[in-house]
Amino acid sequence: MSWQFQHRKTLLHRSLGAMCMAAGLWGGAAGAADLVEPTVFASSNGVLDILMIAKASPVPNLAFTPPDGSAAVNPTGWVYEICKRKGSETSCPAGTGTVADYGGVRLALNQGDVLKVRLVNKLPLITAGKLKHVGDPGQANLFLNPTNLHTHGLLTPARAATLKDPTFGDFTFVSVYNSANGIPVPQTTHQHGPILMDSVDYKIPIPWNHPTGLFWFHPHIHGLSLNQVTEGMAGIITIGRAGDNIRGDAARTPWPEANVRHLLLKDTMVLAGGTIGFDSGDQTVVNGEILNQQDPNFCTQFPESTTEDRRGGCPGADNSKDEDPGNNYTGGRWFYTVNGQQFPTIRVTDPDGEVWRLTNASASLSYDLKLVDDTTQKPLVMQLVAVDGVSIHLPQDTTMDSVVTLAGARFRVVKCPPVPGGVLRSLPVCVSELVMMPSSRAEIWVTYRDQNGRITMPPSTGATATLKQVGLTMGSGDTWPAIDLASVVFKSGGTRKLTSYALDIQGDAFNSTQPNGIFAGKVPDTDKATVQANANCKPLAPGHRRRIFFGFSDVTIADTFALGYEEVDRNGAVVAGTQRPLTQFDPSQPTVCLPLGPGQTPVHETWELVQLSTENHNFHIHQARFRQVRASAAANSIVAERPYSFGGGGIFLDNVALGVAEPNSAISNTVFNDQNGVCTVDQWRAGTCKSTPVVVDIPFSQLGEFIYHCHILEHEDGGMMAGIKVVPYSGPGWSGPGGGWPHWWFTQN
Amino acid sequence: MSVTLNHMMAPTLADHEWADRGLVAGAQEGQEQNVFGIVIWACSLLGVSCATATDPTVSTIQAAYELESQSSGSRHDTGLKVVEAKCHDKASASAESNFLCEVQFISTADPAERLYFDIVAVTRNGDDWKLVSGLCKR
Repeated sequence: MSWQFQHRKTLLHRSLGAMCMAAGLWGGAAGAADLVEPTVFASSNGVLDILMIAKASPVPNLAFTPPDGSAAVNPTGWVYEICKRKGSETSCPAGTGTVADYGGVRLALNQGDVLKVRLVNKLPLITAGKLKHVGDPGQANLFLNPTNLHTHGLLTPARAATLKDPTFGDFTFVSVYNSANGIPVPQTTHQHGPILMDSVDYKIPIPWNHPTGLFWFHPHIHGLSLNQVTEGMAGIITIGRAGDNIRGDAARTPWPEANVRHLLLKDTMVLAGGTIGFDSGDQTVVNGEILNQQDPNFCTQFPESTTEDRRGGCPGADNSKDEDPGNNYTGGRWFYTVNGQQFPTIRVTDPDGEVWRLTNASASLSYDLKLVDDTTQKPLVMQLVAVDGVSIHLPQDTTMDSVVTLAGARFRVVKCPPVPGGVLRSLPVCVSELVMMPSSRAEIWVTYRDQNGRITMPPSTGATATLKQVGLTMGSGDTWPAIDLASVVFKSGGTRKLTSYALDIQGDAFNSTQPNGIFAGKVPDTDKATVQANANCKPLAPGHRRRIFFGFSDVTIADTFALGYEEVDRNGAVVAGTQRPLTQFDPSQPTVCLPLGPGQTPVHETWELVQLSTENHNFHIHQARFRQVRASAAANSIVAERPYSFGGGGIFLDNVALGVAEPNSAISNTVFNDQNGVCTVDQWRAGTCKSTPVVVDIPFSQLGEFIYHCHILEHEDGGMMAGIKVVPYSGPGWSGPGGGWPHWWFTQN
Repeated sequence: MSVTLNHMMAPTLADHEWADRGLVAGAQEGQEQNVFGIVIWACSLLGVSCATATDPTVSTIQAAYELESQSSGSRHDTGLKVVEAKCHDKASASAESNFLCEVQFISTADPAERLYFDIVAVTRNGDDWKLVSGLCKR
């Protein structure tokens, strides 16, 4: 069975170094401390009310030894200091109730809860010369280090503040500045949204029918997201419990929380003192300083020698003599952590194994993960439980090919060991490799298996494995290094009580598409929306699609990351007047506006995502989920455009990898030598630049103004982002103000 | 609506830091700033508004906006109403504007009364105030 990610021409470099790693010359070493779960702040009586202070703080788990012989330092990251809020305070008390871990915390919520956050900005000034985008239009204030909060993956309205309720929902246009850094100067170009000083209040409702799963939070300041996430500003959110949707096939009881782990993957580049070249020129850096304007070439992709230690990090490399000269990072170190720990030990002591909930909280880095048995050097098979916070649910007759499509080619899908018929509520999906682009989450069942993937007991001497980032190259773009992330120890002995063959999943991918599910049922509180029904905000005509281009606004200028747009009819013809050229993000000019469906119900749209770059991008949209589909699929197929046509289910994603464009021989030299590896729309239309669109079905169920973008934050900050507005329905049968339109607009559903 | 002392004082500044702002000004202004700082400190003890006649207020910013929006055409959104303002004297920092003001405003045409937050630059113009930028002036 083909590996779809390779089909998308993402090259997995298999150098001598990689083969050495696979042979175990570096793997199998004992880990450091046992992995510690993130500290949990849990809701009580339906509310979690916290103070979240963004501030600079030394990271005690990371010890950097400068090459000049000076004393070891703990790099200073930017973290969230969090405590339960009692009143109108803006500081957390000293003591065990206050947590400021670089590794991140977990906000544990339930369906129907409300998350209240007072975000306080105590971040330091940034040296303007070390920022890439401070010279972009409207961005002159970035060096003041504004911030905000995005609850990634939550299906909750993107609500703006009102006079009656001056709190925000998941609204990423707001910026809060630290007044100690100065007052931002008004910009003469586009306004990026509300500007507040020192603190901002969020109130984020979790719908009663929200999928239960894994989500996360991070800042979302345009032009600065990369820097702030790289410095450590991220944590995770869970809704409900893993056992809400899964149980062992033997015990028929909800999967116990004691057998659930949360793995928050972060990385940060720490410099040795000296001079580093930034876009603006050379800047002085000090020992232990974090390079928050990340450089993917910080390390070599694979170890340079058999003795190079890649456990939890890699040494800085000297790129100063390269053909395309870069910096000399010798003496620095790129730290990779799991819950803030370098190369921890994960002890799987229960014979039934554990559900691991993984989050890629990197700014730009993509992981290619394998859990490699240290004895056989083969990847262990794992069962896929959930993707991007929504537990999967596939009919028993789903083909492997359909599984790969639905999963967005993010997993190497392998055959699961046979399971007696009639036992499981949905088809188990087994994987041996996970590609996690930035912001991805994946939940997997990890238990010891033999070389054929059958679950078994470890040998009496025990068994170990290594969680590996095997290294990944993003088409013609970034190369991500191979790193050993964690050591896993499987305890021998004991008896399985919960599982015989597989986990039994009743996934929210099915539940959410049923009549009262979040992607089907009436959208609540549309009368309280801060976006109004609008006659200019029309639904897509029947059979029409939205087409999004991923490329550059000017292919002759590097890094002009941009999105383009057009609407196409059922015959694939472009609808006149709908085209927008590839443009950098302008928050004052949303690209898409659409209304909910009649009766204020979720509305489905089909989007085509067209990749013009020879470097991988991914597509992420806020306030929504989507299914990757095939336009040619039969109406009752699991990969059909609309889920209700086959009864619901599948795999829901909030980000999907795009392949790479392939310029043909006629234009290849031009594209790579003169166009920075990016095709134009005209070249794609002419067929000289091959790129098969990724087609997705998006059920829009949340109101507000939000965004869609590439979640490689270097690209997002560079402008590969666009605005979208979802407003209440105001068509026939609606009595409020605003225009109506013919009912035939909705016949596509 | 006049700007009260609470609005004048940045919430994260301790009282002594606010008073110190007046006391650490340049030598030529030292005496005036000294008095200024002491007045502010005294006002804070009494809980009395210390808004001076020289600082922009909600109503003066509103007036400056309305004057500007009449002449700026499409560069301005119309029907905005300032509901709160906190101003910072930036005369030394900017040649164009004397004050940077944190303002909260709504659109009178919006039934949801969505609240907007902005930093606006205003400058003295004789007895009036001129809006230099902000409040959706592009």
